Amino acid sequence: MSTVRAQWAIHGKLDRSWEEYAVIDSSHEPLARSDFTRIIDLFKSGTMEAHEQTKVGTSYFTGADGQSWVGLSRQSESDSRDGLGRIFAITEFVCVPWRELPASRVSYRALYDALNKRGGLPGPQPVILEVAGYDAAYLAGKVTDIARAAAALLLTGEHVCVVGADHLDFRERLDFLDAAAALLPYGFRRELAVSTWTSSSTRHRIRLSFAEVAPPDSTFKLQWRPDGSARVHDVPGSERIRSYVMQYEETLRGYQGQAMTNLIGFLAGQIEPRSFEKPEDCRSALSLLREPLPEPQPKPRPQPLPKPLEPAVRDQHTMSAKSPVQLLEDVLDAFRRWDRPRLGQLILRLRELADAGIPDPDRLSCRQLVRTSRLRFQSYRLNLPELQSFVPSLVNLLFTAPVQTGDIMEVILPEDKERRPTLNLRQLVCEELALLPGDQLSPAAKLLVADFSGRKQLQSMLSEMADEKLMEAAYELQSEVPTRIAVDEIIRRLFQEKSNMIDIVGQSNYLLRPIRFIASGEERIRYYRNVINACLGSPPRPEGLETILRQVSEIPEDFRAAAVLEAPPRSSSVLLTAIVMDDVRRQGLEGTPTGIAIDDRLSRMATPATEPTQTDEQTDDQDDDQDDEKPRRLNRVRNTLEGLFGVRFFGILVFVFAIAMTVVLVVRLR
Amino acid sequence: MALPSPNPTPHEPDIAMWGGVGSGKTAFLASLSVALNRAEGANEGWRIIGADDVSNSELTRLRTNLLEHRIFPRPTDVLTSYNWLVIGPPTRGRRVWWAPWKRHPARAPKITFSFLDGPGGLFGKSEYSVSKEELIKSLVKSRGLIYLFDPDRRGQISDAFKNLDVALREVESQMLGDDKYLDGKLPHYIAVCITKYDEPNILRLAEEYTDHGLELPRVPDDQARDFFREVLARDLDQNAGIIMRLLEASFHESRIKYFVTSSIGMYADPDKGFDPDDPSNIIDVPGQDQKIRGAVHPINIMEPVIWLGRMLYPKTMGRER
Ligand SMILES: Nc1nc2c(ncn2[C@@H]2O[C@H](COP(=O)(O)OP(=O)(O)OP(=O)(O)O)[C@@H](O)[C@H]2O)c(=O)[nH]1
Ligand SMILES: [Mg+2]
Repeated sequence: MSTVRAQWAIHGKLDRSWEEYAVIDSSHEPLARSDFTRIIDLFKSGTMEAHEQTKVGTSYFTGADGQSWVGLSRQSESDSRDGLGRIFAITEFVCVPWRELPASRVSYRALYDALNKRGGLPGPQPVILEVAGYDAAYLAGKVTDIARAAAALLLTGEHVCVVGADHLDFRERLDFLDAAAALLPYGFRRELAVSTWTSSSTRHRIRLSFAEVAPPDSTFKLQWRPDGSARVHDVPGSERIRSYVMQYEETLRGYQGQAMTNLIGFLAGQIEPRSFEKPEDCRSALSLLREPLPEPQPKPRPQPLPKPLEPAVRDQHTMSAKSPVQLLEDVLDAFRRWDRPRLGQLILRLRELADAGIPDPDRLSCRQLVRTSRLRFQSYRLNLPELQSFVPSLVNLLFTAPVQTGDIMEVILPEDKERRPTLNLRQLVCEELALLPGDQLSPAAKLLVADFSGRKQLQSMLSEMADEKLMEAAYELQSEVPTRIAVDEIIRRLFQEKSNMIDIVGQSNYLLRPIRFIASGEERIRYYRNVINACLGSPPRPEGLETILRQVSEIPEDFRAAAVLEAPPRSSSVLLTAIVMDDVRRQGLEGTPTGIAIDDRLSRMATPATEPTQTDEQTDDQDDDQDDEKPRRLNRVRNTLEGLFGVRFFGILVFVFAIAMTVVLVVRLR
Repeated sequence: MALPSPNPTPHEPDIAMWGGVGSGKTAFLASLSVALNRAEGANEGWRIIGADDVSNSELTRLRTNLLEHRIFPRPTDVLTSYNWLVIGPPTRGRRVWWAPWKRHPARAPKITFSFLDGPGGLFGKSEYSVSKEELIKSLVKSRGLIYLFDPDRRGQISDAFKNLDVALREVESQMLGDDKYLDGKLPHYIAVCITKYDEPNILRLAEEYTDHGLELPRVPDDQARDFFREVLARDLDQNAGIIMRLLEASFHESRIKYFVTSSIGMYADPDKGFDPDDPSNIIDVPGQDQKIRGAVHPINIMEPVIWLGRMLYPKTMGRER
């Protein structure tokens, strides 16, 4: 609790007055009534209509002596009526010199509560307001996506208007405005006018407000949602401002819970005056956010009597005895405490260890540790020197070349694919792996890593990968999405002309295994059909199908189905032979008298049976052609007719027009 | 510290509402929002809608207060603009010389009016104010004015005079300084509205100018100027008489038109209709907003607007029919 001396004024009308609105009473020194009139006039937010809630707003101005003031007003209905029988609005206004505010870090809500508690504003003296201290935790609790978006958008210098919150109590709105302001350095409050309600049909000067409808100008509109969610989509203006706003919002998003409270406390300390009109002030706000927060001081703990060694010294003492896992644990702990000097030492030691190489069991334990670590890093802190030297050493510690997918799978978790503003250790490792030279990773591992670092990386990785490597990767990958992407890429290459992918696919059992891994049912058949179709080439020939089916060992049922669906004309005997012979092989009848008899029978069946079919199909084909020909001819006739008709129609038109013109001319000449 | 600039409004005002405190400016606009849609006779078929979301919601609010809550607007605190689209009845399709055998499709006149309404009495005080400056700017930029005069303001006439006088002088000094308007008169069209015609004492005062042939009495336009003169002459204040001279000296005679208006109209019993002995349409409950007693019957509310529209946009609105 602290006290501030506030000047005050009341704006409204006297009972039964025929006059317009004016300041009807105020404190005397050092502000004159005309000062009050001016500031209240400047920051009016619209006429208060019947059935409206109390309205709270803030304002600012510079007095004649150059002193800056920040004001807060509360507007509500009068008890009395003016000369015309109208209920009017009474505005209670208090203002405080700016220089007194930062000292006690007054929030808007605190100022409002103090004014509320004060009751009337009598006498010519200033009022003493008892203002509650700045409650960063309370404000942090009020931070929503909309508040973040509002704060970021204010930095463009444009007005921001929140709509769809008509039902919200004005105190909740005030809390929102306060929370948005709290996400900016405190110094901005010197020139921040906010209001719990504005009318968009007036030209007001309020930067951040609630309204029923947003004004149709360049004001940013934010839609209130009960869950507080919002995203900044369209930020007009230059690309620079756009990216800047997005970054500010994104960075804010990285702070949650206690971190948010810390941030708000930190921003409240940034009291040097800032202006929304100055781009450099807004820009520097972003860099301020990106500075690592000063860590809250750890609470002093009761210490045992002998004074412990300096951490860095202690580490040197004990380091040689430490296992790699212990060392890694220490590093992570130092990160957690943001113990910079100690961190430097530890990382150095870790690097030495990694360069020297560690035994496999230790490596496994280290992987386990990284996998379970809950440490997270703000994405904008990634370029801290400590982190930059730590992550490569860590990767060296965890892996040996060439890294296999299995090794990576021991470290990463499926949810690491999700990007959040904060990165965990596993994600950092993954990003580092992606930077390693090509020969350090197996092809599959490369795809896996690329997949974890985002779609774009994966695409570019794929396009560079040689056919064989790609096939190798598709077989080795044990993760659905990258496998699917690899298979799709292979199929895409199959359809390219002059691709030797066809041979590779043939040798690799037509991708049966990866496809089985990623798809089932109809989708799987579709995949198979694509592969068969591509390998058959064009025009498809029964011999092609024969080759494919012969190369597949143990043809699965769905592959058979796909083969039937893709079979070229006149290949029924080929199909039958391949399928039956596959069965013969599977039942171990190959080479037995039965097997030989079946083979013999099949080839005898094939010769006479195919010929009639052949001619049948040929005539069928011709019929088809003729069927096609008929409509085509019809079309041609129709086109010609239309042409003729068109010409004639145009002629008629010209003729009629000529007559009409003549008639008009004759009429006009008369 | 830089003075904050207000958010820009996309429209400059076409028509500025102008008059003393409580002269009925905002009530006029509220009434306009219902008047057009229910006019009968010569002015039938006009409609009014908001030209954008903001103006639409304002239109709805004014209308709801007037029709549902049955209350008048609260005193205006700040300059407010309303962009309303006025749509007229479709004209008969015209024939054109190059195709005399067919009619062109009927077309409805459609005009966006942006009205500017502000607190009355801004010019009563000599001290500088932001609103005053903005209002002057708007008066200079607008092309049509609706000047409202409350005939019931006994003892307040000198205020009205002072307001008018100061404002006119400000506007004139900005517009007539250079040689743009050679005849020394302001270029605006101005509809002078004598408001609150429904008030019993005004009705009485207007008796001899009134046309009783209609469902509700009204003062025909050609009588309005004489009635205005009478209202002014009745007042003991010397300045009263000057008001009319001031107006006619500042604007072209052909660009001034007088109307006797009422935003709510007289009370008409649903069964028995209008009763000259019980005309008041307002119920006054102390401590509360004044209530409108019966149905709202706007009198001469859309006429000034349509007249201004025809003067300002003769092509779109068409000449008087
Ligand atoms: N009887 C009657 N009273 C009216 C009429 N129009 C307005 N009034 C009365 O005049 C009061 C003021 O009307 P407003 O429209 O608010 O006046 P204004 O010119 O906008 O006033 P300010 O906003 O203060 O400048 C209303 O509250 C009504 O009491 C009318 O047509 N008939
Ligand atoms: Mg008004």
